[in-house]
This record gives sequence, C-alpha cells and structure tokens, in this order.
Amino acid sequence: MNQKIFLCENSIEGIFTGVYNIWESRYPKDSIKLSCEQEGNYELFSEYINVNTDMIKADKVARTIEQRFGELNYTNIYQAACSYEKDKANAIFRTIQYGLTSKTPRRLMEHLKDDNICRVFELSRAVGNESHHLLGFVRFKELTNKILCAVIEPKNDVVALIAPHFSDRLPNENWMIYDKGRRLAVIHQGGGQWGIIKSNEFNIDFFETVSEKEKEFENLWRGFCDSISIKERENLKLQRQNLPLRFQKDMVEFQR
Amino acid sequence: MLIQEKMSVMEKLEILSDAAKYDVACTSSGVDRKGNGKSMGNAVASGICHSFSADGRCISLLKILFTNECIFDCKYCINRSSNDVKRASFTPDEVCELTMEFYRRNYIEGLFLSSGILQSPNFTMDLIYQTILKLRTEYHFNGYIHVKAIPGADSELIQRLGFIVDRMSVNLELPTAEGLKTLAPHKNRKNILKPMRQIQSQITQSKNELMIYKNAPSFVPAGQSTQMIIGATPENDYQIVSVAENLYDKFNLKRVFYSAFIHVNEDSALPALPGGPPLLREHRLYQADWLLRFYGFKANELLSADRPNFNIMLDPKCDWALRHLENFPVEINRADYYTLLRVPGIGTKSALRIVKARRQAVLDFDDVKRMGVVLKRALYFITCNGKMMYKTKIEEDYITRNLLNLKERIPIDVKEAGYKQISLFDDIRFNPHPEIVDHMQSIYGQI
Repeated sequence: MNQKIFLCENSIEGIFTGVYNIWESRYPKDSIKLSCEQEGNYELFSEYINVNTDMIKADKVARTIEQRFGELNYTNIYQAACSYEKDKANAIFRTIQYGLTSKTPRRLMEHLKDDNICRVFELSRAVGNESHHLLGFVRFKELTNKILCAVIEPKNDVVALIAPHFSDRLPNENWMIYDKGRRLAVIHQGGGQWGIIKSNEFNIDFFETVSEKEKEFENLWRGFCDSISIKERENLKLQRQNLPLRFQKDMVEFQR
Repeated sequence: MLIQEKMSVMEKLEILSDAAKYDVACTSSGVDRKGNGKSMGNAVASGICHSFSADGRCISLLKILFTNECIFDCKYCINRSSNDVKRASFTPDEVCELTMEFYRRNYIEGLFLSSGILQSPNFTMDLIYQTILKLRTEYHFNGYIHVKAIPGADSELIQRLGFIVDRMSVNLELPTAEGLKTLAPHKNRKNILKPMRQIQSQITQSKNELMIYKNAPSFVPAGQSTQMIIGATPENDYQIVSVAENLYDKFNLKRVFYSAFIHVNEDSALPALPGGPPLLREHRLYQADWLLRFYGFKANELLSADRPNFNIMLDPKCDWALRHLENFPVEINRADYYTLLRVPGIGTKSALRIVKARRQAVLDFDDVKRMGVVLKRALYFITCNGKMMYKTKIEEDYITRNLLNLKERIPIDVKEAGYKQISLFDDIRFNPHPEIVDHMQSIYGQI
C-alpha cells in the first residue's frame, strides 16, 4: 500500500495541525508519516498531502495532549517541537498516537523503550539544555533609548521558551531578544506583556547605537572576567567545553 | 602602606575581584523565587551559569570582596596583613550599582560578597549588612545574594543578615584544627563552627515557622556552604572526606567546596608545589563528594585508614566497584534503584529513567545507552536479561586495564608514573587478552 506523507509547516502549530488532519483523514496510521521538511527529495510510492496550519485545530490538539497526558508530558512534546532536527514531526505524531492508546498516558515519557518516545525525550532534552544555557548566556546591550537588546543564534527555536524567565526577572525594563537565524524577536514592554514578532525586515543596525554608560559597563565586565580567572589553573579546553564557541561570539566578554 | 584616595571603579573592581577569586563557591542554586513584578530579579533553583572564565570555572555571581584590607595574617592568603599588595575598598553604593547594572544586562545571577577583616569582625559584618540592606531596600534587588559570615561577628548581626540573603557560608579554611592553628594564627576552629551552628539552627527554625505562617520571612533559604583548602596541610583524603561527611550530617550543609592550594605567598610553613596546584586530587574529592551526597556512599566505604588516599588513575566509584566485584554484575531489569546507583557509568538521572522505563518494557543495552548510561564504563558491571554486553570477565585486573584504556584526561606526569610497576613478563603485549574489538571480530569472522 502507498505511504501517505503529511507535509506540515515547521512550527508547533503546523505539527499539531498535521496531527489533527491525520486523525481526521482516518487513514490507517501505520502507513502515515508526518514531515515538516520543505520539499526536498520526494519519496517513491508515497502520496503527499499538504497541511494548512490552522490555529483552532492546533489548539485542540494541544489541549488534548495537556489534558490526557498531563503538563509534564506536554512540556516535553512542546520542547521537542522547538527542535531544529527534521525528524521531530514524525516522532511527535507517533508519541501522541502511542499515548492515546496507552493505558498509562500520564506516564507517557517514561516509556523510553519505544523509539519514537525516546526520540522525543532526546529532542526535548537538547532543546531544554540549550534554552537553559541561554538563560545565562544572553547578553543585553543598553541602547540610547534605554531599551535592552540581545542577539542570539540558537540551534533550536528557543526564544519562546526563555522569554517567560526574562519577563519575570526584568518586569520593568523594555527589552528584546532577537534570534538572528530565524529572524524572530521577543519584545517586552516595561510593566507589560511580551510577544513574538517574525519579520524579514528587522534592521539590526540600530543595535549599534548603544548608550554612553554601556561601553563603560562592558569594559568593567571584561575586566572582571579577566581578573576572576586563576592563572595557575588556566584551562581553555574546559572553558570551551562548558561554553561552546557558538555562544561565545554573541557575548561581550569575548568580543574585544 | 600607600593608600590611594581616588581610585576608579575599574581599578577597584580589578583588585577586589582578583582578591576574591580564591573563593570557590560561585553557585547560584538552591532557591526558587519568582519575581514580584516590581523590583528586578528572581532566583532559579537549578542555578544559572552566566559565563566561564579562562580557568574553566563558572561565573555566575559578581564575586568581590568589599575590601581587601585585613587585620588577619593567614599564611596561605594573598590579602594577609603582612603582604604588600594594593588595597582598595568599595563604597556600598558602588557595590549596589555594579550589581544592578550587571544584572540588568544579564551578566550575572547575583552578588557574592566577602571581605577582608577591617578593624574587627563586627565592624566588617556590619559593613556587609548595610551594603546588602541598601541593595535590597533602596535598589530593590530581588536576585541571588551569597555572603560570607565572618567568624567572630555578633550572632545578632548574622541573624539580621540571614533574613535578607539567599546563602551564607563560613569558611572552614583547613580540614583540621591543627592545620588552622599553624597557618591561620588569628582564627580558631571554635569561632568558625559557632556561626555555622547558629545558621543551621536558624534555618531549621525558619523552616518550621514557614510551615505554620505562610508569609514568615525565610532565613538563608538556599542553605549554607563552606570551603577548605586542599594540599596546604598534610591531611590525607580520608580525613578530608570524613570531615565533609560530618559537615553534611551534623551541620546540614548544602555544599562543601574544595580548593586546591595555590602558592601565592612565600612562607616556610607552606608546602612547595613544583607540579602546580593539586587539581586532580581536588577533582577526585569532588567526585567523592557527589557520591556522599547523591549516591548513598559513606566515607568509610570509599576510603579507610589503610587506604587513606584516592586512586589517582580511577574515579572513586570505579575504584569502589573494582574492590567489590562480588556485588556485580547487576541486572538492569531487576536491581533496585540504590544498587543501580552504585554501578560505574550510571548516574542518578539514568538510574531513575531505568527504574521507570522497565515497568513498561524489558530493557536492552541499546535502550539504556539512549537513556544516558555511559556504557563504556558500565558494560563490565551490568547484565540485560541475564546477558553481559560482550564476553567480559568479572576480574579486577582485566576490568582495570580496560577502564584505563578509556583515556580519562589524566595529566601526563601522573600517567607516566604508572598505575603499578609493570614487569617485562606481565606486559599485555606478551599475553594479550582479547579486547572488545577482538570479540566483535571473532563474532563477525573477521579474524
């Protein structure tokens, strides 16, 4: 029998809509694959079905997952959907399918013997690790208009995962975190809410117009980072292991 | 002594962070505190590392001394009164501004404030208290604060400070009272243990109050820690680990930090360390520390009076397992959590995952590998469904040799000194034991 491949948008809403459409289609699930890749190599003997992202459908799936599997499992699936790996959509679809037929759906992520669940677990762990790293490695610069700006280039789509932390920490500041690779920005208004904007038209030149005090504090910070290190223990390999180079290029203490 | 009146904040920061760098603790963990929507800051229980310095250590707090002027003359310390080093002091406002501005830019997770002893312990403790109070009330800082309690300061001061900080620590400095007497003539063990005991009992008291009154102020919510210098005095590892175990059991400490002794002063009472600071020894002590806190080991299981020091070639857990081969192999699908924890290559997280996952299905080597078990170490000690992964022998020499081949990063001088004297005739090349690869090749007929 022909395989049916559902092609969805590479976003959490896209994947959840794909899952909704798969159930709606009533095809036997064994011959279905969910993919969020852009058309690259088409597989032989497969029928491709496009999925149009639909917020209402995605919301229904999200709610089902949260109610049936519990918050912890939902977080795991949500984080896996933020991964940059291509096989995430299918692993998530299979995990949801497993959960809906399981007798212990609230223990879904404990079934690590299952390949797809284990994959979702791995993806979620990788995304969780990167977003935890970025909670520390994000560096804000103060612009002339007192707005704090940070540029990051994460592998995974983590801006939405780190935004609540900064919103809780800096409630009265105007700040934004810009994901250069995805052209996504989280914007937070002092005393208000945060939101995500996606646009190809961001002009990041204005990030260079930093305030007068900014240079002073950057220098103080660089001086601190130098003097806090113990020469007798120098170990650049360990430093690189703990703080990979891909993060270092966006951090002031390494920009000299 | 030359005291400069006008010193820039930059110079002060350099001097006073340089002076604070020998304090090990830079953790920002232990307390979850949401932001309150008004002031700046929150705290995350897992702790957050914000950067890593060139020595590979985490930078998470703005670690500074309030002043490096000191009336004490501890022989190991760069700031001792008899040293001719540049002295500087911050003003409370400078500390507050630095903290706030660094915190806003997400450079740091909070403040670590220690100090040399200015005039008297009480005077210094009060200075620290005034600074922290200013930071909390005038600057509305709600992030993580770690302060040093100064031994000999009034218990009243320590109590007041405890309610506005997250973590407090009193440095044990040296593992034994005798060591302290020779190297730190102005300090004594009793003075150090007194504030430690006070903080412990007030933490307990505060926790009890919190159970009854939801809004009672919490005292040092992230717990207390301490640190001791390793290698400045002749204590062996067994003594050090026993001291640490006692501190965890009797004082409820959150962490004990070990700091490899670094030769900063010339003094006849200090050992010469031609090989640099004893970093590998420090590393082994931290490994053992984790075994004490999370793996249910006791100090006297890891070491004994006859074997007072750690094996430099093997980590303490492997070393323990090799001396207790009668407990192995362990069956992954049946052994209880605490037995799994004792297998080299299995950590607390992977052990928990195994225990949960095997309720649903029978596990195999591939599965446990994906769950985070380090098979290259664990494979000698476990079975899945009654089978070993390869045809390995449960034999001390054999496993030791294979584990040492894993090339854990051991400094060359240690490696060349050798694990044991190898004679011409027991060299493995003369009578080779089959390696894992050989087994694989014989299975696939490649020999």
